[in-house]
Amino acid sequence: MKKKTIAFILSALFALSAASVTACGPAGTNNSKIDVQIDEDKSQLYVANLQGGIGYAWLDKVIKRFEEAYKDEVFEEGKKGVQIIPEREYTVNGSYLLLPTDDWEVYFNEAVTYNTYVMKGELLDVSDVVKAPAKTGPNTKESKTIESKLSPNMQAGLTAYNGNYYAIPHYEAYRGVSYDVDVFKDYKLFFAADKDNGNDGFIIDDDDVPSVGPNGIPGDYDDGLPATLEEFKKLCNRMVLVGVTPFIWPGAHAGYTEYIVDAIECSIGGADEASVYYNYNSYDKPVSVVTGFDGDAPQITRQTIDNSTGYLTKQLAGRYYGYDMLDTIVKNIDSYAYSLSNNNSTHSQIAAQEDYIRSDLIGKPIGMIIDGNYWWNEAAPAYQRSLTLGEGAADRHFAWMPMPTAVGEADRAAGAKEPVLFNAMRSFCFVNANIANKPAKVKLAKEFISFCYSDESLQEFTTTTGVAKGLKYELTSAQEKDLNYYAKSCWEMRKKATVVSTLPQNRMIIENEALIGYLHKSNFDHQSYNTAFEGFLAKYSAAKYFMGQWIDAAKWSSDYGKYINN
Amino acid sequence: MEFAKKRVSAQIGKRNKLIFYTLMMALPIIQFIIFWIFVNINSILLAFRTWDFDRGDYVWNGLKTFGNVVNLFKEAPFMLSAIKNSVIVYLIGLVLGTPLSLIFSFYLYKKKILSGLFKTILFLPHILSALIMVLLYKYMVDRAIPAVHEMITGSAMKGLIANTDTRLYAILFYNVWTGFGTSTMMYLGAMSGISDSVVEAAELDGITPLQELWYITIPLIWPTFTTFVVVGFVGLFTGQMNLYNFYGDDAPYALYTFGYYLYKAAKEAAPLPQNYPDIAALGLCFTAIAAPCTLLLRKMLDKFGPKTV
Repeated sequence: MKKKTIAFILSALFALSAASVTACGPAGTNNSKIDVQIDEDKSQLYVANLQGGIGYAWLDKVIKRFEEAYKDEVFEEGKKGVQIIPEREYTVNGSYLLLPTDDWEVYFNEAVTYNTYVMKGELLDVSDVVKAPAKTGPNTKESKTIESKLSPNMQAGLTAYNGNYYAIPHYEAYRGVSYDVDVFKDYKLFFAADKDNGNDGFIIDDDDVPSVGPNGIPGDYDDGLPATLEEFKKLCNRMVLVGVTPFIWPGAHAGYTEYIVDAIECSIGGADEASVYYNYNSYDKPVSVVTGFDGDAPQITRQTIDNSTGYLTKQLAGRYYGYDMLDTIVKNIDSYAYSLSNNNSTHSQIAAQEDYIRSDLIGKPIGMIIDGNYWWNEAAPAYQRSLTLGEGAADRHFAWMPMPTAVGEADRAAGAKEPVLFNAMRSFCFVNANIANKPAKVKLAKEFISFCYSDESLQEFTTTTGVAKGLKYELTSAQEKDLNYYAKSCWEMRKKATVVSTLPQNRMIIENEALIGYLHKSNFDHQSYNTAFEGFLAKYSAAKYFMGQWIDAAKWSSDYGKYINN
Repeated sequence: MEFAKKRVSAQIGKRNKLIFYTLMMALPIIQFIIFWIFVNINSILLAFRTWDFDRGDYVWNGLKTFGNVVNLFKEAPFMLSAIKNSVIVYLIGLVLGTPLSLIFSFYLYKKKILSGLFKTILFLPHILSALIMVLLYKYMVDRAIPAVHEMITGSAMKGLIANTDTRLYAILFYNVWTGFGTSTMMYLGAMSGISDSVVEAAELDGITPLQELWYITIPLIWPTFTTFVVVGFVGLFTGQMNLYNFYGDDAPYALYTFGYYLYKAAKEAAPLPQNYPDIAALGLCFTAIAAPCTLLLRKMLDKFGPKTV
């Protein structure tokens, strides 16, 4: 009897575990992640969306409009209308999707290793969607194609593998610095147009004329901000002098400090140079290459980079200047950074955002946060919590900070460069190729993604999230006005900027993704570091760290010979 | 008639036993086939292949992948740290952790003062998930200790993990601390199996506690001790020092171990078929070193260890 009872319990457990395995599997109508009632009279489309810093509100809106517009359409016999089922708990990183066995049909995800999925045949070819005008309804469409909304670089990157499109850019995420405008105003941290005003070049009164900023154009979004790295360092010192902590970043993630390196290398080097990091090829455009150091001063030449000289990518001048700035910050970390930013393993990015938002309200102001442009979305709960901290808590003014475009006054004279934004998140919309044999599903999926890329949908996305999609489109003045202060600053900057994508066009890189996998490691003096922050904490100089990344020309030829002269 | 009934009953009993046995064994055998035999065969085959981008499939590559492993050892910036840290973790466990565990187990085994309480305290970390333990520990060493230090001395101090000079020791301490409970419990279990009559006879002969530990207890639990030492040696290539729990993907190179590198490399290779062969070849190289060394170590421990008969 006892044995029978044990056998029964074991059988039940075994059956239960088998059942659990089944329930965890496909995203069908039995999927536990779906909390909506399936309408058998309509055709279903399953859409996975990574919440990240973007959320679901934008998707809910576009679904509502799509379902309404297609309510009388027939995609499958015996069914009328469409039911889009969004996935709400999907937290799988875009790098690790198991698409062939996944029943989600359309994806909006980030960190997508695009060319790898393409190479494995796991993404559906959507060239016909991209090369056609976006749909605005079953029988209506825009006049221009989705392809025409893509930048030439993005077009080249998306089609680099075999000429077809397998994805459309989702949102743009930039890495860099945001600043607290109120702190800058209250502590008079803007530069004045009159450099010899007796206040070290900083404004004295609120109505002083600010300097022209990094883009050299007066009267726009970057007025009063440091135009050169020299001014940036001066600003940091000024902040310390007036009782403002210049920076905060998450101490648990030293890699965040490289966002400022990335932002500076883009702004100093310009868009052409920034694109080289992801192609190891400048495509006949000359870029600034460091060939050595004379003391602390880099020796720079202008030259083109192709596959045979791809190793020079590690010697681009913009990156050195980025490291130089970070080195300055780390060498002065006790005064330049919030205490927990200094490597504290308990200080997450969410904690850093909350500390930043609260800092001015509790009388310990922090000037700048190093994070992505999505930080304000992520910090929404922290902002809500900060509302209890008294007057002014609700009306906050944070803005994206354009980085200096010159090293010093001398090279500023050569002319200001246009701003560059570094779209780092590899965020895409794509369709799972495992529905290729289901014509009705394919048609529905393509109609939906086309609808998502109409101007109306793109605008709706930005007004809802405050973040731009990776395509060219405008907002109406009313829409722009409705953006929150931070989103407005990002949008304004983006309108003027060239956005650099991390999608390689070079076959050599597509086949050797490790070359662009992690760009900040360095190896010198029998020491190795995966973040510059670590190297600088160990008292190494920016030049040393930078040179530790250089690739030997002979080794390059030996490793990548098959791509040279091809 | 009665005989036939008994026969049928015996057959039913036999069948039920077979069902019981099948159910008991099915899951582990399936698991073994999928996660050991299949994975290892696939991994061995991968080590001799490379990804062909034009064909979109793996092709045979002979021993070339092993050349990449040699290059990895020569060029990978973290290899020196990985070698150093992996050895340190093993040695600390062996030289510090094992004797402490043995002594403490002996203390608990002899049921000395507060031994029951210590048993609970020691096993507590194993009730909580490793991630929670790491989180608690991080708050303790990076927030609480600096705060207490500041309260007492009035001067600020960096957390023990935040400080690059102390973080390795802080993490090593965590590993010894949390690993202590398991080994202590296992040794205690083995010690509990020692016959009371043996101990009583020795006590009548006037044996001291230290002599009892050395001459009776350790020889009698030697198989358990051997298992720990051998398993610990295998961990030289697989142990990740809880680095993933502490740092996720972002552990500094200076803290790398072989185990952490392998885990991270396999995780990051997941969508990239071209990366698997190198990792498979590296794993095979580690096995080629670890397997004979483990067998040798086992043989030496058996040969030179204390004899109980």
